[in-house]
Amino acid sequence: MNYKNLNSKFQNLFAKRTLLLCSLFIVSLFIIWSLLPTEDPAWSRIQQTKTITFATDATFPPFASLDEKGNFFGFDIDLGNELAKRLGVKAEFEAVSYDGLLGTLIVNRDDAVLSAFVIQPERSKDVSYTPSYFNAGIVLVTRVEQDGILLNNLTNKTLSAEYGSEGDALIRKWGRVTVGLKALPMKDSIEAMLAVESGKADGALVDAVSAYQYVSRGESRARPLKISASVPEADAPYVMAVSVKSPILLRELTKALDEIKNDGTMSQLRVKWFGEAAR
Amino acid sequence: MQIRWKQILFWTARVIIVWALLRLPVVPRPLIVLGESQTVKTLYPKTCVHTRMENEVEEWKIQRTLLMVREMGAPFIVEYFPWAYYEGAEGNYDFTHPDHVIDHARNQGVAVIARLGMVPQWAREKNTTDTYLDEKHYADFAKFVGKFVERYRGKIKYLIIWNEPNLSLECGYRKVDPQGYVAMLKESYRAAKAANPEIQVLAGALAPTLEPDSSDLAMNDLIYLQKLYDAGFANYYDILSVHSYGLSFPPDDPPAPDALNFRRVERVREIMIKNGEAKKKMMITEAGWNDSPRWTRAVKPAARAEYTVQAYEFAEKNWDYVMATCIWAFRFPAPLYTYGDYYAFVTPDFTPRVVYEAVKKWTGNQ
Repeated sequence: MNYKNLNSKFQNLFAKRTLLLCSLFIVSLFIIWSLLPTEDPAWSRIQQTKTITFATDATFPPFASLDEKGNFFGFDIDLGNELAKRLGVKAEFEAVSYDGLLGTLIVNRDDAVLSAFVIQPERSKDVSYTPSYFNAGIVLVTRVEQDGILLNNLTNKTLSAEYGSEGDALIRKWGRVTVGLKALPMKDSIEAMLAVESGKADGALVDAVSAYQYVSRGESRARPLKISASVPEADAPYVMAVSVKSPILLRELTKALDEIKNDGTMSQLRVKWFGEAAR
Repeated sequence: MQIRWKQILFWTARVIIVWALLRLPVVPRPLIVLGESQTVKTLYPKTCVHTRMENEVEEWKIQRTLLMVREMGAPFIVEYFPWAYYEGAEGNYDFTHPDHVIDHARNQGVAVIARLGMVPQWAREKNTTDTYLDEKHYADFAKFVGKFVERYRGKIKYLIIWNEPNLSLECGYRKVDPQGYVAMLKESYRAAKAANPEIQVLAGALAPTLEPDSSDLAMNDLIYLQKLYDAGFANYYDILSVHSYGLSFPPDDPPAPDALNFRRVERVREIMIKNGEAKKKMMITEAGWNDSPRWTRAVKPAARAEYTVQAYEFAEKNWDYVMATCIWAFRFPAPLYTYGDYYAFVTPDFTPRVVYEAVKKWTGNQ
């Protein structure tokens, strides 16, 4: 056996393997480096000014409104202040009409949109979204003692809703494919839920905020109500939006939002603005 | 060598059959046909609605939208035609989508008032929104206007240049600039008239707002309009386009300089007259009410239906200078998931909302 030759082969193989491993290491480093957020003008600005600016359409209670002195108040405002606290900065709000919200991110005017805002997938090229913090879609309200009123079992049931509302349209749509499902249109969502309370209707389809607020006030009623289900085809999950050029801000807001959800702060805010039923 | 005719014929036949089979799937077959030409039946010929089909990708939905508009008794629509969609690269035009919209509208007997705007990426600075049009690119926009008018000569009679220029967001978040708007309008107007002298150019389309002078978000529409006239606006439009939302007030709520309501049109008219423009007509190209359960400026769905019909009626009876009243908005291709959805006459899946049924009945179509 030619040991000298064998040794040389091993040396070659070792050298090749080392070279391969080094290359792999460098490529991995490059991939990790390229995935890391490198620049975030909004985050830099927030760090510099110690202020985060939210664009908000303040015409949408109880999420955001302006009082007589021009001060912002509402669920989104409290949430914004809480998020800012967790980021170690101060929150400021700018009143912007709904159509102009996302544009303020593109032109670097505001840092984030916090305004009862639902994902617009077609804008994903320009903005990124946090996970949802509230679902404002349509829910089914029934009496507490009622069982078996399920969204997949509406045969021969009567559902009430505000005349002309999204809930009303859903009942009419379902009525075309559900035997005996009757619509009971009412003047507004309160009357629709009153119809459930009085037994005229088996359930009411109303928006989540109206339902939370009304159901929360009903503990003293003879026939209290409950929110039995949300309607998946009419969900409206609210999110925050930031520029796609703000990956660090997105990460930090998401982290802070998770903390707020996990430590019970979100529950407190929900109870404050929508009532006990929203806990 | 003996020629095997039988074999040649056999193989030739095979090749022809295979070729024919391969051809079959590529024979273009129209999926949607225009169908029989229709006319709008209506008791009120100034009835109009603002459609939003620019993002509607399915042709059958364009057809269905316009069929429902016709059945509602509206002989006019305002539709948005974004420049950025049709000239994505400079000089490279694709009018397939607007062709569909205009052909189907004509087939349903509905006249189109075409609103033009939205700046393509190549015609604006980086990190700007699609409403950012600077002086360097006025000529590019005007060129597009000319192309559009030329293409639809004989098919489109009315054109709106830009939208709500008194809002900062409609000017790429810059400070609003009435003189700049007139300069842009001048070039576009000339290009439109050069392409078709018969075209009627609508301008203005201001957002009703009481924004204070100190605001950098918007300028009061009445102040902005006067500034337009001061900058020579009168020479570059044929019909004044007006927006007049009712918000939470009924349509007969009296006009006042500090009131935003449907009859703000009358305040706008006063400014026209003051500037010697009484002979020119107006079109209300956006108006209406919203029935969101949460928005502070909304009304109940039943009130919305009632106010909308009353508004059409009020305009027909009282404003002979108004050629059409176009209510915002017929249908959105997908939900917006905000109060904007509650302006719609029909849902994205074409379910009529109560306002649709009310207008349909009022125009004598039920």
